Amino acid sequence: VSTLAEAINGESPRRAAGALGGDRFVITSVLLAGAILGAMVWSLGSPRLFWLYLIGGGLGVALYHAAFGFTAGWRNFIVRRRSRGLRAQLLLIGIASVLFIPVIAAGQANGNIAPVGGFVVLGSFLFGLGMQLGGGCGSGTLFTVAAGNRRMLITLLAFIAGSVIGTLHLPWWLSGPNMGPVNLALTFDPLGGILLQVALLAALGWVIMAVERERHGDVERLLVAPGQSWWRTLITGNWPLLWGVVALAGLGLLTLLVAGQPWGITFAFTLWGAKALAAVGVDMSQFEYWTWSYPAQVLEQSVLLEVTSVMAFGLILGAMLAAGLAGRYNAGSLNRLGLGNVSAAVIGGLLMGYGARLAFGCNIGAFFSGIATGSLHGWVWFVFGFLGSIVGVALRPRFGMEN
Amino acid sequence: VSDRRPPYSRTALLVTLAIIIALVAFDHLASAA
Repeated sequence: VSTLAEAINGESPRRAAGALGGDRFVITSVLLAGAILGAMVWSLGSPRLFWLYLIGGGLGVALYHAAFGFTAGWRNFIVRRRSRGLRAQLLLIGIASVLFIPVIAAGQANGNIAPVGGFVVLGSFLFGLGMQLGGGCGSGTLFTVAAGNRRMLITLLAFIAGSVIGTLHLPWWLSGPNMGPVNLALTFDPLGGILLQVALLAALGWVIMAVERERHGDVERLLVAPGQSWWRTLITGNWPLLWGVVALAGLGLLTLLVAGQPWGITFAFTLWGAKALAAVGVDMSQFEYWTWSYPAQVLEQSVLLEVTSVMAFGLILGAMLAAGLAGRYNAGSLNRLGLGNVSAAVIGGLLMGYGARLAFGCNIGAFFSGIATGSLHGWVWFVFGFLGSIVGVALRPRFGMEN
Repeated sequence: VSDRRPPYSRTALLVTLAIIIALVAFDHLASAA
């Protein structure tokens, strides 16, 4: 039992494998594969894409090492009234709002300003529900798959399928009544938009802290001193959540500046699914979505020219590297697969994929990048995604999953 | 030392990485053609 526990928390391998620990085989293999993919990106002659690939790698390391999960953070508040994870997300979005909106106002980048309508309400609700069943959100699914969790691979495949199905229906959903895109930084001017958003996020943070204090008598802190030196923690993981916030905000800003658009994830899944169908002979141009100019263009192009895909490849390898540095590669697969949790992975993945297309993004594209660039649809996503998560949390025990 | 690591197959890890690279390369070459 102690060996298993040590394998899960990763402490023994870290001590056993050298000065900094980690799993040399995983680290070496990932660095080699990363160099090959990096060379392929570099060969396209676009330093911008190469930098985005590296930024994606940094995001993967930060997500894994800080264990920055949106799904568990929401569930911890819903079930246990512990707000640490949710507060970290609100802080991240608040910092990102202050950083991103001026860049967009200066014309240096575009925001993820998407239309607001019933499709965002339904899509985010389905996504929120799906992420509790699937066991991870857009970023969470990607970094846990990368860290070797086989159940999350099932979630990812269903996620990809669901997002392609979403593209078949999205034109119909968009043909209905909607408010169109609402940019809060234009509605209130950039400074007003930032102040409004930061005030709302701070008020929410205050409320959830009050709820936590009411239940537990204390509030868990975002910055807990690591149990080892800071540089060792930086490399081998178990980051304080606040480090994750700072890293994700900084890398999010770099993404915005280099890509000219904020960080997104799920469009890559959609594209990979469509490319897979096209590769087996399906004529994607029979579907309206894939006749629109940008989807049609990237479907024809190399996947290495599409920003979210290149960043996702970097993220996968970054998270894999981090898992190797922590000596925990594949640790998530120690949990047994059963009919219940596999069914939940499939249903959750399908709902997240479909929901992300309808809602113009996932927890990253809509919740993080949407709100941080002043899009009202991000706020709508937050409200209905959270409601969906409450339902999802209630459904988890039916699939044999603990809360 | 190695038996105290999380169990995984080194072959499976290498195959996974090779599949990722092969799929990307295949798509890249097919798109360029």
